[in-house]
Amino acid sequence: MQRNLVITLIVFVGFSCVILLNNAAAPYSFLSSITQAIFSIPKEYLYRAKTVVISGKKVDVEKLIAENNRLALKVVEFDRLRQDNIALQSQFETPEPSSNSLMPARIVGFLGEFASPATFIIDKGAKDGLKKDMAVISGKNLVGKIDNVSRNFSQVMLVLHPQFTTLAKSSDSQATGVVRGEGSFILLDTVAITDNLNKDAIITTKGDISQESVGIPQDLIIGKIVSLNKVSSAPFQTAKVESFLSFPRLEIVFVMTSNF
Amino acid sequence: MSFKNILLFFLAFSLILETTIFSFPLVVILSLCLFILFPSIGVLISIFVVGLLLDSVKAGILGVTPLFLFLYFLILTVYQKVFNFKDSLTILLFIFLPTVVYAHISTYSINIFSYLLFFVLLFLLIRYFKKVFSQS
Repeated sequence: MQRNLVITLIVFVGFSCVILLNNAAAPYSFLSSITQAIFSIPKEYLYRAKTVVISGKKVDVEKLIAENNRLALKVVEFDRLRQDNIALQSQFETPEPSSNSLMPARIVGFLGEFASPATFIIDKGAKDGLKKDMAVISGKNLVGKIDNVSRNFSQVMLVLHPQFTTLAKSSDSQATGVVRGEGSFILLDTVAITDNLNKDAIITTKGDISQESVGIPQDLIIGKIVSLNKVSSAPFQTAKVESFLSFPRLEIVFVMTSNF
Repeated sequence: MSFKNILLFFLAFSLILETTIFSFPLVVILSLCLFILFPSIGVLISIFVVGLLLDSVKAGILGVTPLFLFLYFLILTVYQKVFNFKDSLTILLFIFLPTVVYAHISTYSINIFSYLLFFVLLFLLIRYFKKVFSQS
């Protein structure tokens, strides 16, 4: 009896390995797309119900967050214009992402903590032209980047995800560093100790685009500095950054498909 | 309805729940419960299919969940004589450890208090259902 069970289990392990190694093969992709199509509607409704329940509790907070977002956007615009004027390089001003390069995607699930998710599952995939590492935004705020792509669904690695990293800069002092997800907050790391970082400064992306024009463009808002960690004897300083977005309440995000 | 069918029903239901509103490895927990309590071919096929569906609906790498589960089942079966799977606490321990590992690998919630609370509830449920179904 036990011998039969062991043989059966070995057969199942073998099947799993075959599927794992031939993940992108047409039959698996086809079956996966059917499954995702079937599950997409109930997942969408269930996730929407969850966000409605959360949003219903904090209407005033939501208004304040929206206002905060608007003001943060103005601060970034102001800082950027000032820098452009100083450098007399207004002709090189970074263009806004055009609407035809943005693909709206509905969030149908998440992974990670309830209050600070690490990954979103969105209802767009390879059939919509999505590729790994494409930037995902909400307004002008960076949500994350595309991680796994399947036919109908994709995983978005959020800025809070422990494996998320991108180049970033402070919009006021132009101090540069690397932004990393730390689960419940964002960390601005490897900023030279000689650079000037200020509390409440807005942190934006510095641009992290591959040769295939896929990646995170510059000047997307990551968040604002809420605390600094500066030790004069250390070569680098760090800062805790808080996003303006309330990730658990997001329902729709935009994937930047091209045109930087 | 037997205890096995109840667990199978919850296994199917948790498939949609865990990748949408409740980031907790329910499929892994229920699969482990099912295997330890009712190790049959039918149950293994159900677990294999649900594992593949889970990888698909969370846009993950297809085959990771069934591979993880069946490798663990294999280890459990080989070392079955060493451990006493009649005891509810032993069962719970052997469900708890791979669940935390899987949660860590698949970026689920890894709040240890929620896991402890969940496993206390699971322990009580298993004992309750065992009593109910042994009486009937």
